Amino acid sequence: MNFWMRWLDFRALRDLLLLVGRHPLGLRASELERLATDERILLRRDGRPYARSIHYHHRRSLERLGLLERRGRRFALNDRSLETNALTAQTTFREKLEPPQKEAFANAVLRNEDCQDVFFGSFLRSPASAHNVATFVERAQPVELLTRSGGIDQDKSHPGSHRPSNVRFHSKHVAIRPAGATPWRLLEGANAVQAVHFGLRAWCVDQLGFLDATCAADGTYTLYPKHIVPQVTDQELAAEMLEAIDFDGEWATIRIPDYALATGIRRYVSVDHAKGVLMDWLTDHPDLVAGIPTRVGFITDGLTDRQHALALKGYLRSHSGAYLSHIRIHRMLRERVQNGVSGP
Amino acid sequence: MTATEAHLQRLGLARNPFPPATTGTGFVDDLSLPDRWETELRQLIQQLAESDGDKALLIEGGYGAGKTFILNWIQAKVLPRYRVKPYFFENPGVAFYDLANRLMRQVGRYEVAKALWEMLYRPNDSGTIQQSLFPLEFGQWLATLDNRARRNEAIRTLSRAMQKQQLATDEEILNKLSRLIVETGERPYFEYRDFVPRSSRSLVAEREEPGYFQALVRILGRILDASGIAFLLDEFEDVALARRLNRNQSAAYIATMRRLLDTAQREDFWVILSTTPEGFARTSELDESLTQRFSCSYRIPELSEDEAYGIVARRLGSARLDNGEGLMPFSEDALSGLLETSRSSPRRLIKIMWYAIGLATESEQDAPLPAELVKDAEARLYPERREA
Repeated sequence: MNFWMRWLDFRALRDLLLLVGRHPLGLRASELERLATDERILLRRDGRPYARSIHYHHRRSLERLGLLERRGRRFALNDRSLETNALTAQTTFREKLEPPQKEAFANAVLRNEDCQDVFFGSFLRSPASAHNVATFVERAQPVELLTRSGGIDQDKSHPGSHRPSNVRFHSKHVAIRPAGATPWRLLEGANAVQAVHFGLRAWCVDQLGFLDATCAADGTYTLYPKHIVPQVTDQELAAEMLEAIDFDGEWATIRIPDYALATGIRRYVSVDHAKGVLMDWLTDHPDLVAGIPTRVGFITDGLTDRQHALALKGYLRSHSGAYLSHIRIHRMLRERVQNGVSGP
Repeated sequence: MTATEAHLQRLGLARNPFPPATTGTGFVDDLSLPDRWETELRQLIQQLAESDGDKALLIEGGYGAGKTFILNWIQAKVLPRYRVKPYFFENPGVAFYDLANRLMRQVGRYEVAKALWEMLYRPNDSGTIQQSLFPLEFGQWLATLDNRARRNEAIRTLSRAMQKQQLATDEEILNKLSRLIVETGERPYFEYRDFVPRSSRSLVAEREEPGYFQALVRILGRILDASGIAFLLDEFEDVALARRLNRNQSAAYIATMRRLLDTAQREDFWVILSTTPEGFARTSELDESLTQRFSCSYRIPELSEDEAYGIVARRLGSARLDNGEGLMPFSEDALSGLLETSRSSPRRLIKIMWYAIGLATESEQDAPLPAELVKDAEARLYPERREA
């Protein structure tokens, strides 16, 4: 299994394509690196240049995704790729990625066999059948992802030794499975974690936006497909969300992380989008909707510092700064939302 | 008499009947629930009393929904009917033996030691051990334990007597419980370190929490002549998930809690917990098997209009000087202007009414106090009116 995927800056990838596109004969690797630094396309946050390995990963990834092609010792745009054309349509650097560009990158990633093998195979029975984002979102199922540092393989240590020299550290592993399925697919080693967790997961969730993720109490991520641009308006989503609520008498109490995730999965929207609707209800209808606060310690208990933000993402932050775990909704809200009536 | 008291009297009230803190403790006479809540809770407790399985009840509700109030009500008005002795634990701490610490401190060392000693004494027993051990009063008997040899002999004798009465079988537990009695002469009170395992003066058995608790439950049940013992744990989520516990400690605590429920299954022992919805959800995520054991759970419902009226009317009735009815000194429609979110929440409702009476005395308004006053109190207490 090929774990070449690493963290990448997709905006920089797009700009690298633009750079190469300005040179019809292509660019050598060293030239591309120098130009990327000079044009401030690929720099650290503090403005210092990256090590060459970062340039290599970006350049090689473009090649592996079929967006660049090698001509001798030079790299040139792959003119046969529709995605390359979409990504080089603009002319200025450092612009943020627009949805069509995200979609083009996403299509290239989805078509890559290594990516299918390592990651997308868990979302789809037949990963090769999803050639583009639209098909993927339509057919993919949610998956669960677990990253662990692992422990020490004690069997490999010398008995009685104070500091065993040949202890085998299972430094990292990542496990993935379709949500709710029993067996995990285990990918061992730091390379697997880099490729899946910091590579593909971060690409699809954080940068390209065709997956969204939540983090459970035990550190398990739930990843599910969503549209890069929502296909549903806030009003439509609000109406559908209210339809899905079971009222127990006059009131319903719902847990925000579960409800937002379920809505996201059902309607292919982000958790934040669903939470936005809940926030609108709280703000616009304070007489019918009330939040139940919880403590941050509950949410982040047992999670690493890096997972805190993702765990908190599932909850709603009130205007007063408190995190809300549940909201109480009165039955009359349904009528109000359906009729487009504003609150008091 | 202060001006406030004088105005309260003009309103026909002996005092402001709404506690500002609304923490749920209150007095026994104030402990009444809406009929719907009371009926459902009594049914659940009846089911528990008649069942042979886990006697475990979970009360789930948000902040201010009435969890502590319900636990107090169960403690004062329901469990005594079943001859179940309740012990209330409010945020009992991080270590599991903190429960034992709190429990035994509630009873008192001298009292439990004396009661246990007297329980072991059976006048009709013909055994020579008892005859030689118990001819004296407890205090006199303690005074005879003036050297290590006598104390050790007393510990051995008490251990045998406890084993005979099937209070415990584990030797370490028997030894610790015997020491609890024998060393009472030196220290007639409990100290925190008595409940720290691995300490030389520890009175708890190391890694034998369920067995130790089982023995305590049996002992308390026998000496109190109770049909059962109940632990009421308020804010359970603080114990299991507070920031003071790391992940391993949380897991260990939850595992021990599960074993305590095993004890509940074997003994006449009840566990009644209250927690927030999120506390319950997170505990479920960490250990689903624990929360599944709470087959009886009660989710506190929102107050209906009639129930809100009933709560306010009962409170006012308890402080009224004359024989007035309903919401006097408020007008009968005083609650009609409240938002649904305020009216349905017990804590908000009580706080608003407390504040409304304060406003009335401040502005010297006379009865009947109008709905506008209550609405004004609501607006001042919850000015943003956006979230909880």
